[in-house]
Amino acid sequence: MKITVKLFGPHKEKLKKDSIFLSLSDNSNISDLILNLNQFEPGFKENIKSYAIAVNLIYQDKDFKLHDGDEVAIIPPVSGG
Amino acid sequence: MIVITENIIKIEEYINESNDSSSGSLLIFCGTTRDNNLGKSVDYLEYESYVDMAKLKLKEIADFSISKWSLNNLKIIHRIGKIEISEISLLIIASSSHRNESFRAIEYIVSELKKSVPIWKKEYYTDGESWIGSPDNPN
Repeated sequence: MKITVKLFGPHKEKLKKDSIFLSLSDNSNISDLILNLNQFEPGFKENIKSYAIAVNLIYQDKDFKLHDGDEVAIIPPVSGG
Repeated sequence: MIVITENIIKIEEYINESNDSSSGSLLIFCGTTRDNNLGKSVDYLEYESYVDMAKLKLKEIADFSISKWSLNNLKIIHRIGKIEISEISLLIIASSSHRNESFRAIEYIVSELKKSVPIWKKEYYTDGESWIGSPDNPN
């Protein structure tokens, strides 16, 4: 399945890109996606501990199952206001 | 009303339509950009947002607040993009029958916004820049 990963703030700046397109095997969940993203950012699975993850605009846990066409957002600590 | 905008926030554009005859309290909160943080002199700020999700989260917060504190009217306006010092980055206008409800609602809204709404702030100094919320520059 095809997944779009959106990056924001300091994370986007660090990777110098605002999105990543991944192909994952069926039945993948967010934990699988995190492992896959490690190829773009060594150490990502450690850094992700301070980030949240949203799928199709809703915060989700790491065992959340992904589906073809999902938009996954990696959310660094927010600082609005 | 939820608005995320790159335009300068002008209170007068929102205040007139916020008043209503059933309210005895019309409370306005402005978050403004300050020229210093953690001992550093700040030149200006930039805000970035995951706009679609930010609007959704703000609507959740607004709906909860309207219900819990029986607000008659609520507007949340957040600016993004480059913001000069002393400009308004956040405007909240809440009206209710009595003042306590508006005060409590606005305190809750600001607190929740800073916890869950995907908006990021970056400070620019004369000698560098820093994202707020990073381990060396907490929110």
